[in-house]
Amino acid sequence: MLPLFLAVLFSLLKLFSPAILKFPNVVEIYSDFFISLSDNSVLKAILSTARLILISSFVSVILGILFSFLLNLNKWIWSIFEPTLDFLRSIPVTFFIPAFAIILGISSPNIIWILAVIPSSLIIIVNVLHGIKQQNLNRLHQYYLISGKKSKISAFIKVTFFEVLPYFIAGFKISLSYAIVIVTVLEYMQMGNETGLGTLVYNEMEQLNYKRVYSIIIIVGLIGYILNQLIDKISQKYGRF
Amino acid sequence: MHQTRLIYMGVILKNLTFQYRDSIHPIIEDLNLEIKENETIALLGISGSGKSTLLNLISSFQKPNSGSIELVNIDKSEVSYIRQSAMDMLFPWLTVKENIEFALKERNQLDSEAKERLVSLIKILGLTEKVNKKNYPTELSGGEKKRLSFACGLSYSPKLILLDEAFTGIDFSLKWELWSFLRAEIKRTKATVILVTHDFDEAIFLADRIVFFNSKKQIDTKEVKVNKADIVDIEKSLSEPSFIKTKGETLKIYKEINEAI
Repeated sequence: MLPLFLAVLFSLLKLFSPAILKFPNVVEIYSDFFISLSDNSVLKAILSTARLILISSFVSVILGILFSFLLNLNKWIWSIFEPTLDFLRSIPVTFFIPAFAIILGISSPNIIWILAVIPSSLIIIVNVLHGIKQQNLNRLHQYYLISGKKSKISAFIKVTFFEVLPYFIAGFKISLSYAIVIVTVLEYMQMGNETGLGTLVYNEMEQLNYKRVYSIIIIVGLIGYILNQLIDKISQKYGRF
Repeated sequence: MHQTRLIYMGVILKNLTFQYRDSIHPIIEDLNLEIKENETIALLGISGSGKSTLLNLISSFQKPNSGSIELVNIDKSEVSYIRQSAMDMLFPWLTVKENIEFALKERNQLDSEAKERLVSLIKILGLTEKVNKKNYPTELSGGEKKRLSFACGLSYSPKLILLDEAFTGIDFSLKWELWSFLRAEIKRTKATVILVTHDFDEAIFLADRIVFFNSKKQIDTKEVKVNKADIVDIEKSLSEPSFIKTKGETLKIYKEINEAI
């Protein structure tokens, strides 16, 4: 409903067709959008960008959970790393580009997902740690009592993991959005990936093919929407509490 | 004397002191108390007198600053702690049945005999329908959650049961039902019970002995012994002379302690 509403609204406001620039109208954009779905270069770009988003998300999840667990082991470790985490979180990812460009090389195929991993994993770490801080300690104590076990790892797997799951899912959704933005923007900046949606948008802009530019924007939006829906479905099934 | 010591089971608290980090004074100071095997004691006292903290210390949730807690012939894994908030005891990501079976599963003790016992426990506590429907704890009413917390807390037949205002916030009929159920369970398992409550009726119906916490954070030497043999049915007992006499005695000491401070 929302895309339709926006389409009508934008048409009424004539946002798509300023007289001077001769932008395409909504009908042209949507018809090109459907055509683009059968265009090999677009399909290739979708796969390429989706691959980078998934790699960065996957690595972020692994790093996020691993670091959260390590930082939660004791208060001393947490107090050492907390300022570093806050410091890193305050730096825009674009500021890391020169450093990684030197280390990896600007055309390295890995530079995009590595840069996307930085903010994405930090968001997951912060959310998971917040979840750990918020967890019901009475319930955790209850686990130790009724299970008759003393193992911290066992308590983490059986209790803390589930307590933190809603916080993790919330963090993962935000980190995924970050990953999409960073991957497509870096592609647009012609870094690392020459076949992604970002690169395609840049090329179509150069050729003044605005219909295709907007089609690709819709596709990027759809990728984010589908991934978010997928996470929602998973969280409804496993994080329903 | 040596033989008596060997067969003895219970809880011995010696010179126990505990102070919260942000607090100026200790909430429990130099406390001494002995709870014998198969004895149920009720702790009565005003809010903030350290009753719940004492249960936290006994259950190892918190560590005392000084003094000792000795669980004689009771392993820490044989302790159950039933709290006022049922959700503090339940795992919301598990179904009602999974919650009840959880303790025994974790202990690798969920054999056919244990399963049979759990079925009977579920039936007594009126949770059969919820088990069959595969409900989750969040889908239960307050009373059902309370029943479930009792089922979870008693599923592994603990030797020491700690109850922290476990009957607060439920209606009379369920409360009486749970009191009777708990008394039968204590009789069956011969468990030692420490009960924290503000309810005199509950203390008299369930406990063998009532001890009083005063706000100096110490257990008062005055205590009421309850003759439980006289009190079988709670509804009938409420109007019986022995019950009324014990309640009057309890109230008198409770007032004396609080007025003296």
